[in-house]
Amino acid sequence: MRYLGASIVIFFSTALSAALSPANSVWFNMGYLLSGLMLFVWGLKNKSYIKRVYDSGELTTIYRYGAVILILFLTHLIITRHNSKLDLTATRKNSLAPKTVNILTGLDENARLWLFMKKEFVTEGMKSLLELLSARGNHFEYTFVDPDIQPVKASEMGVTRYNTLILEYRSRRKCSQGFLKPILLQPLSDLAAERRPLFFLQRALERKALNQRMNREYRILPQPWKMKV
Amino acid sequence: MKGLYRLFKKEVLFFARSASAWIILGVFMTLTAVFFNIHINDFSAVCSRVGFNPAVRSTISVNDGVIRNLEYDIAILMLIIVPIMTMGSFAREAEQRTLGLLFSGILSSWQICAAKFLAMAFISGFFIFMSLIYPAICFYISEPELLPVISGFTGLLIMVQALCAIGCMTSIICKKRVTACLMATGINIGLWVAGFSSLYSGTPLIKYMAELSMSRNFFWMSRGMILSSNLFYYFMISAVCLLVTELFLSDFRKAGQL
Repeated sequence: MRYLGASIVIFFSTALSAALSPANSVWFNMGYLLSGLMLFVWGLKNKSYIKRVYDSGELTTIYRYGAVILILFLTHLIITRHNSKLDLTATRKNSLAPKTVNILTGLDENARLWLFMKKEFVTEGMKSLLELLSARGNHFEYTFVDPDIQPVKASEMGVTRYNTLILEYRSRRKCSQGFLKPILLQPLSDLAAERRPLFFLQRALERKALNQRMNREYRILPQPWKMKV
Repeated sequence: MKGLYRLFKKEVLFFARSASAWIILGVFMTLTAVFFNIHINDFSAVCSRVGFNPAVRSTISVNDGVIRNLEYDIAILMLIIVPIMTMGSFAREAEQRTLGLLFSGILSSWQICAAKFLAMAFISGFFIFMSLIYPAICFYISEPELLPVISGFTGLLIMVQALCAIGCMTSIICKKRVTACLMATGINIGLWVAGFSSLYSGTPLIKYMAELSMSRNFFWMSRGMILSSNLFYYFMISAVCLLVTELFLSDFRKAGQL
């Protein structure tokens, strides 16, 4: 049984470390591999036990429940992809502007936003906005990168400062810096902060739609918090 | 159904007559009052500092500044309190060797499982109901939005039901109260923090783990938005835990261990 116990412990500790660690590491795959190996060794050492349980018919109940649990997880996976929402706030602050929705649904290729910033600078408003954007558009993804933990990635992308954003679309990259500063400096204005990057994205992609070229810099207005979406 | 109701009533009355239940409720109410006081003070300080600025004034609200933070505090408290309440649901019967009496009656394993779960869910729901006094105070002194408050507390209620199912499951698995409590607390905290760093990781496994996180599924409800995936998530957790509970219970029943 100790092999089975070790396998379970290694699996869960690896999964927990992977969940809590910001960087992907090959050691996590090694952990999963080791866990699988332990399970295999346990299976080899307990062949007779497995055979006995299998022959006795005790597994049929486990199979039945296992199937139900699997169906539940798969349904959850499907529902998370096709979510229906009900925004109960008076100002519909958790909903995107129709223009933004049009832009997001109109994307024909994956657009990825890289946010090179430290964890302590990521606000709830920022996270919720990015989640809304990615949930709405199937072609919009975002990735946070801590430049201190992943310096290679930062140098690959030519990032030299914190709070740098890079929008990647149709194998072109556009960089912007500093528009998140007001969010960092005014933690009280979270709600307004939610709208600022929206303005950025809207403006940027609208310009793209108009020009059909994507070869101009994404320009950020100096005081975006004064603008309305 | 009559047997189920009787067992449900017995469980609720057992809990209501024990001193520990009232001590837990007292601790819960005291802690929530302290948190509420802190949030109110912080919000008052913010309002007195920047409230005169119309640009900022439009962005701060009692819902975000007080009630939402309080909902998060209650959720975190319940991660610890619910296992203390549910640890005895099956483990107590196992320790006193009285589960055999339940099996000898007309109740099926499913009914026993459902009655115990519903009793715990009812008591936990009562705790959440008691904490509604704080939003009521907010409504008395200010004008928060009602629907986001309803959404947040509904989220809390659904989350607590899932916690009760986890508690029942660990109680039958461990058969010892302290072990069951520790195991349930560990699972609850694990589910709460799962995917905390998913923002900085792009692997599909971690992304999916983040979707299985309780905090993430509570996030939108506390902000006044109800998502079908969040509702289904809590239903799924409850269903899976109750299935496992029933599996163990019927297994013990067959083996005649308890």
